[in-house]
Order: sequence, then C-alpha cells, then structure tokens
Amino acid sequence: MRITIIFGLLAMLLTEGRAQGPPVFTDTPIMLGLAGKGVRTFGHFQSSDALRSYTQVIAIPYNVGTDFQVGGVVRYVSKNPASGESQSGLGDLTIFFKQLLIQKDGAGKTFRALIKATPTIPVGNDNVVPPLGAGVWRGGLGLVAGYITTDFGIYLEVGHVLVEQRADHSTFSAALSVPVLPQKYPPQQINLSLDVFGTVGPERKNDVWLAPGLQWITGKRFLVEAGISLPLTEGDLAEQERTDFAFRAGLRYLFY
Amino acid sequence: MIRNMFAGLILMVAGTTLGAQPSRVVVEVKGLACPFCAYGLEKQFKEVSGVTEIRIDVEQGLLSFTWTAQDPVDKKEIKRLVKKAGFTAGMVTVREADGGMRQGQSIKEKDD
Repeated sequence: MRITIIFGLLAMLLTEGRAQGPPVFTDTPIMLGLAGKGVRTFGHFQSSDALRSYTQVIAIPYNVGTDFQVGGVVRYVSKNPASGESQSGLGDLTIFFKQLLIQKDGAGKTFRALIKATPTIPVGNDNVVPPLGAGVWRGGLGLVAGYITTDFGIYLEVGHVLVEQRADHSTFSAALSVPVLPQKYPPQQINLSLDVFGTVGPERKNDVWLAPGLQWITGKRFLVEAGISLPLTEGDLAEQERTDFAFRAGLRYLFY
Repeated sequence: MIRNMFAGLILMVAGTTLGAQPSRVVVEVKGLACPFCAYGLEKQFKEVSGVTEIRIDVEQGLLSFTWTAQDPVDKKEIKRLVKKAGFTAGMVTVREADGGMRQGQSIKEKDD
C-alpha cells in the first residue's frame, strides 16, 4: 500500500504542473525570497514503539548580500517514551553559513550551487532520559545544488558531519518538486515534492527515508507546507526503536 | 492681449515639461524560476522613486514597470537592482508614451 501511494505520487510529480517551490525536507540553493529574508518554522513529530517525539524548529536566515547567508536554527524538543518520564525543553542550537558558489541563470531556469557549514552547539540537556540534546559538538559541511526551471526543480544535497568524540557520518538528500496549479505572481500555488534522504556512518543507523510533501503558497510572503517521511530502511535498529513514520508541518513567512 | 499671449506661452512651455508621459520599461530577468523569489525583485524596484505599476511575469521571465520620473531610464541601475535581487538582467526595452520603442539591446552589451 505504501509503495503504491509513493509511486502514485511520483507519477503525479512527473506529469503535472510547471514551476515549483522549495522542497519540504531538502535544502535549496536559492537564497532568496522566503528562503532568505524571513523565518521558517515547522513542527516535526516522530513515532516509534519506544518513543514519540515532537520538535518545534525555528530557522532564521539573514542574507549578507546575494551570495552569503548566515542564520540560526533553534529547537524546542518534547520526548515521550513508552516507559519513563517525558522530557521537554530547548534542544541543540545550529548556526549555519551558506556561500553561493555557482549561479548560471537562463530564461526561466537557473542552476545554483552553494557550500554550507553548520556547527551545532550542544545546549540541549543531555543529563535527562531521554536526552533533549546530543551532548556533543557537531560540525557539518555540505554542498547544496539545484536545477530549477519553470517546469520543475531538482535539488541535491550531500554533507559530512564531524561529531565530537564519536564517529563521523555522511548525509545525502535529493528532491523533485513541481506545482499543481499554473504559476503566476502574486503566487497562488500548490506544489508537490518528493524527497529521498538519509545518513551513512558506522555509528548511524544507515537510514533511508522517502518523504512526499505538499506546499500551499498564498500571496507574496506566506507559504504553508507539510510532509510525511517514511523509513525505507533503518539499518540495525531494534524493532521497537524503528520509526513508524515522521510528520512535519510548518510555514515560511517573509518579514521584509 | 499681450498679457494673455505671454501666459499662453508660459503654459505651452510648462505643458511640454509637465506633459512628459511616463514610459513603460520591460526587463528580461534571467534565473527567475520560482514565483515567491520574485518578491525580492518587486521589493527592490518598489523602493525606487519614479517606479510604479510593477508587474512580474514569471513564466515569461519579465519585469515591467512604469517610469514616471523626468530623468531618463538608468539601465545600469536597473541591472544593479536585478543583480541585488539575486537574478541576472537581460534585455531592457523602454516603450515611450508615443508608442515608440527604443533600446532593445542587452544592457550587458551596452554597459560592460
């Protein structure tokens, strides 16, 4: 059933629409509009037999010129284990720096690539069970690329994360995004996206996820989005730790 | 009689100046592939004195606006604002109020 839904959505993505919005789960190399001069927030709910967790994420980017962006990601985490006490509070804090490397613009299309650094500061409490933070510094370095036309958008992201006193791991993500409605400005759009992402590393679960997403863009400055991510594999995790599904819903708002 | 003729002459001269009709400027914007990225483009031009009636056609990749100021259209400034918004400017066309059209050339060819 799950595979049928996924392929059905993929078929819609490949046959429908024209322009696109940024994917729900994969990063975009376009540092403009809602991605660069506003705020993005979403709630992420994840469920397994052993644990249900909810994370409210707020990301605030600031464009320093058109080629360089800095920002921060703040998380409020709530964890509810099947056995034991629930915990909630601030999670780890991530700072990000993005530098545009390539920008090739054509009529109704653009190819852009950027490099990003994402140090994460372990401010979340890791002295409780379950912990709200990782308790270690992490430093991520990634490459984000995208080919976006008025017909579709293809996004790719690869990264490597250095973890204090632990083994490193790598991340990957790819997405296809298309709209359902004809595009116009000011926008009134519904976009569909399909993301595939995961992690690879000796201490990681070598997980791969498939994540269909939906966006509603109403007006010049406001976007609502939601997506469900389904694990295709979670490596060696015990059965009760395996995720049933994860769901995220949020908005992006352009302040200025 | 002489006084009336003098007043008429003044009005004719004033009319020539005040009657300068606004021009419609059309700018080809390369790299414009997502509609909500266009907000930054609109905002850049909205802040320019003399620019009104901004329209953005994402499918055609065109920005157009009415230029109401007395000064001639500054294509270098247009190019700079498009770049500042995160895109690349292509052709700039100015449609004069009398229906004439001028400057279809790429501003890159002209300015660089």
